[in-house]
Amino acid sequence: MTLLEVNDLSIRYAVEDADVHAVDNANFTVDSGETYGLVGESGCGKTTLAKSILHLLDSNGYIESGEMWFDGTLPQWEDGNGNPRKEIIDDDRYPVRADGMTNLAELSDSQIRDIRWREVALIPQSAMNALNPVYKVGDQIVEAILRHEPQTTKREADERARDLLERVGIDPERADDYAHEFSGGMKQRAVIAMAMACNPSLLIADEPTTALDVIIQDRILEELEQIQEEFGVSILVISHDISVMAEICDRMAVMYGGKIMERGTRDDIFRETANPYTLGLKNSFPTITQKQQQLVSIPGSPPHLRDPDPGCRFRKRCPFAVEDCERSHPPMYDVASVEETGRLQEAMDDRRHGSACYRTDELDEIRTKAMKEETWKETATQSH
Amino acid sequence: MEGNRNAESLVEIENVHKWFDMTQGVVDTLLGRDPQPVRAVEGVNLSIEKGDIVGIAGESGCGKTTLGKLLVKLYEPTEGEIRFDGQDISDMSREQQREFRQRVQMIFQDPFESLNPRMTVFDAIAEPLQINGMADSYEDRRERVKTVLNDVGLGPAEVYLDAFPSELSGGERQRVAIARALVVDPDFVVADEPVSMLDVSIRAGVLNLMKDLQDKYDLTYVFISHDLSLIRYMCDRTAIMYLGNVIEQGPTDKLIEDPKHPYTEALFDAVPDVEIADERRRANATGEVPSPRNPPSGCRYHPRCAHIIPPDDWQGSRDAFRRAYQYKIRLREADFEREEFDGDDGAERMLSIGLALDVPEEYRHSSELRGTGMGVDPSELDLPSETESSLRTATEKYLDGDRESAVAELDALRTVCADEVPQPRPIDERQVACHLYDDGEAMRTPAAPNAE
Ligand SMILES: Nc1ncnc2c1ncn2[C@@H]1O[C@H](COP(=O)(O)OP(=O)(O)OP(=O)(O)O)[C@@H](O)[C@H]1O
Ligand SMILES: [Mg+2]
Repeated sequence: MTLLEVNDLSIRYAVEDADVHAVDNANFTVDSGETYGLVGESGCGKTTLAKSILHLLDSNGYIESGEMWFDGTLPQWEDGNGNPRKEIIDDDRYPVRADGMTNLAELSDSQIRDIRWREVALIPQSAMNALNPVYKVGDQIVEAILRHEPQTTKREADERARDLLERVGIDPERADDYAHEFSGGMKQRAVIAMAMACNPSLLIADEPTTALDVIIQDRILEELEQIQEEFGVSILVISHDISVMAEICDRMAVMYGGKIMERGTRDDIFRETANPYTLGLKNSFPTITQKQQQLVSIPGSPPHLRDPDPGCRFRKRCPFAVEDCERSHPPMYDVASVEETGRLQEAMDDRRHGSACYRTDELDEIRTKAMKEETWKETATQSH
Repeated sequence: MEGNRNAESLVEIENVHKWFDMTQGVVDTLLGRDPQPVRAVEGVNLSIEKGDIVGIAGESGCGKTTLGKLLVKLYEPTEGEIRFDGQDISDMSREQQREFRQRVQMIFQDPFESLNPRMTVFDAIAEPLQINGMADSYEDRRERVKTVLNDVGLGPAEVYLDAFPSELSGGERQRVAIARALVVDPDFVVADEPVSMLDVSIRAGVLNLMKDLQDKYDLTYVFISHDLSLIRYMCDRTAIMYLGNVIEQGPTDKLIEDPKHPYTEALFDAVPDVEIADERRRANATGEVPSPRNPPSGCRYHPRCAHIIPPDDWQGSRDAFRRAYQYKIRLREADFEREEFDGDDGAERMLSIGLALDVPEEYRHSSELRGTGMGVDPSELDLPSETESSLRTATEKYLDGDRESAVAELDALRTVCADEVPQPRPIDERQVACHLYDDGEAMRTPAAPNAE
């Protein structure tokens, strides 16, 4: 079942005399109960995309266009079963469509506050450093509960806070500790507990393990899996680390320069890799299990996103670029149907394996060539 | 390695300590505690052979960077000796020091900070030449800088010579930093997390460059990284550090394929991997790295260790010993709040919670799995009955407010791991500092309770 459907989403930041195209025309769907990953290098727009869902962009950032349909709505629009009422759906003034989904992009700032925490919770990048050090950890969770569920009593909230801490593996008696008494791993667990305070159906975790040492990272990844199992929550997880993504994601989107370049199941991305950028990324990523490996970097460096030209964002670093790539950024093609029919066919369904590359119909050749080091060397000399 | 001095050793580190004294942490100040020195590096022995790339790995704060800076003489050891090409680097004449500064270079983590923003690429790279009195004329320097720029893949050099760091990408800046280290034609380069600030897609280029330059410049490297996949890619040999100690060192492939020290094992188990994502075993370690101001006695790792060694006459399982011993540590450190365990069932609750292990699910005890994971049924653990009853007595004493006799009650729970500092021993081409190997190759029993 669809929990979040993002359509043609573009986000800009206004700077001086230009616009940063931080996210451009993104399409993807997150199902209930799954872990969906946004993976890509620094500056590709992952955080921007995640924050925009909750209208938490920096003040110069804005949603240029697009929709974010979410299965959940405002309390005042709900009937007794938590579904939007018929008159709300029928009335065009409300951004609620026939299947009961609400377009988060069209909510006002005060309306989105009713979605935050209750329906969608965000664990921001470096959240563990944002815990207030002079507050008791338990109280910080209690406060979050009371703020978003005013009808809850202090006592209930307190019990829930302890229960949440216990569920993420923190001794509930430590609810009375201050954040500075917590180790890094415990802080990160507490932040997860806090995000779960109002039992959201979508948890957005931005680089949840990036600042952690590897053994603690291992535990936090397990924690996220367990939280998902217990609460049935969907997780939208963001990371630049493809090996972390390989472990926890059911499906994912690979981003580059504000664009989704490839999306699909984990196996689609790692075993049936179709996009030149993803192929390059895999080549450059060392693995612990392989003894003999030859890493190959992608020549050049990531693009800036100020008023980008219309061509493929990756073409300047891409060894497979052709003339078409100059003209416009490629649409998302349906990899399986292209492979079947040999003809380029645009993706109709977000859930299927898609790749934004004009040469998706020459996939075999591209995959073979991408494995060779020389392939990536040639562009290097061209581009400088 | 100690006692095995090789004629080809370029660097020998012998029993090196570095303590950073007495600056107080905020918490110490608040609580009015006496300042404790940070024992950043403690008793490290390591020898680095000519032409090797030696990795230094470990979690943050384990002393990697400090060791690196000791090697290039940015710090002086508190104790011990470092010899470069046979010469004690703490005891060099001026002339020797000058030579050392040319032959030994360091590359830092942050390409954005290690370059002066007001210097052009040419000035930045030429500076070490001037400092070292190499290449006297401007023309010579210009030629030399151009050659090095081409060597580090920044060619044609003319494009870069007059650029400022702000005009370069992260990868380019790190290449300039490498060029700066190489321009004086060193023999030994210490690289501290040289790619951790770089984007994944450009990292590989810098790593490969470092490998290529090794041949070309006949270099020996120390490569410091917390990223074990990078260590595997780069290093012939690796030393794993934990709280200031090198706990295992040897050929990288050996360490990864068959880790001997329980910490090495946990560290490599914890690394996620694209290839084995689903079957990966998680790390069997409890807790987190304790403060280097007050490190545990004996083996620094013993409070977290999955293979902590029971006394010879221990009748229960090893898993049960690990739990009971961790319980003792927690009593000693007053880790339980007495008020939380009021009431008739208080002692039982405390025991149940205290004997639970904070480990990944696959290592939990069946009675932990039935509950929330925060409690265990002591009677289901394979504890000798006398231990079980002294655990109960100790708990009651603790709750009565008599922590000292509570801990004394558990005096029989002893382990060599806490009592003696393990000495590095040669095993299977490496050195391992772990009591499991006191009698040579260890008898390691599985630590998972379900394997009892
Ligand atoms: N407030 C802002 N004003 C202008 N540009 C911005 C602003 N915030 C972000 N950007 C730019 O938008 C792009 C996307 O940034 P974003 O933070 O979403 O990337 P990211 O993928 O999360 O990166 P990282 O991995 O470094 O966290 C970048 O080019 C960034 O420089
Ligand atoms: Mg980000």
